[in-house]
Amino acid sequence: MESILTLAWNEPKREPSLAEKRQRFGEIARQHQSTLLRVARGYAKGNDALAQDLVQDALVNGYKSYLDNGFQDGTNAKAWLVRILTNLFLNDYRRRKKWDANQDIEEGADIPASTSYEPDHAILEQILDGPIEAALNRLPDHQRMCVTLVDIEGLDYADAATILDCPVGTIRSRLARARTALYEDLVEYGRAKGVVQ
Amino acid sequence: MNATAPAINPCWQMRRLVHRLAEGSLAGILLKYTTYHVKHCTRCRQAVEILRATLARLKRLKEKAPELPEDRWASIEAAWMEHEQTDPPE
Repeated sequence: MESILTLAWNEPKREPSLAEKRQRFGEIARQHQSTLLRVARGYAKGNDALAQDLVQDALVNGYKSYLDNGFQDGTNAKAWLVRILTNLFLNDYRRRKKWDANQDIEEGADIPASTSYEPDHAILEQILDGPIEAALNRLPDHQRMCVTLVDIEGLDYADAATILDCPVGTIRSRLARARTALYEDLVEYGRAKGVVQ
Repeated sequence: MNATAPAINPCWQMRRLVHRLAEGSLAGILLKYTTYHVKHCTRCRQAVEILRATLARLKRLKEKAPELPEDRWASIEAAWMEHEQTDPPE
């Protein structure tokens, strides 16, 4: 007599229906939407509408790839989706130069004035997101993308290298240059606002 | 940068290591070597402090959790269903 376990073992695995696959992919997409939007916003220099366009296109392309078994459950869905989004940005959006423009991030009037000296790096704590994002937007694209993926989203170097299709050493050197440039930019900003002597 | 502003300017042989120390990605003998050097080198110590502050500030940008508006989701799901009709998987 066969046990329930043996029967279950012998039962052929049922292929999920399209509706089930769509539902499963929808769950993955919603789970990672914040990451995708932050990354897209970083690529799009703070332009929310363009960031949403990019994420929408990435999720549509991602679903096509998902149906073609381009992704297996249990692997790194976040890195996979970010890679799709990054390829879209590199191959399509930037080519069409949709990303100029829109420097509508407000700068200024958000650092409390200080007359006492503080170490410059302590100033960073006082700077709000707007000026930080503006400084990020002034970085060259390839540096901004590295900072977005590694320093903000916390992807490891290997994932970032795969996503950006470059060696890990290149990621390291881009990050080193970007961090230096960001810090100097923000110190300049702080000095202009009178909080850095 | 003026003379009073500290800079990210570590000793040349420590450039990669100070970044990794600030990230917290060093371990073992490299961690011990770098920590010892930084403890005794003003330039590298300053660089690590600045890098840690910069990285901590950047990480705070992740606290935002934006979401796609529901009308976007409706468009996305419509595109998924359209794809299922026009190019169904084999």
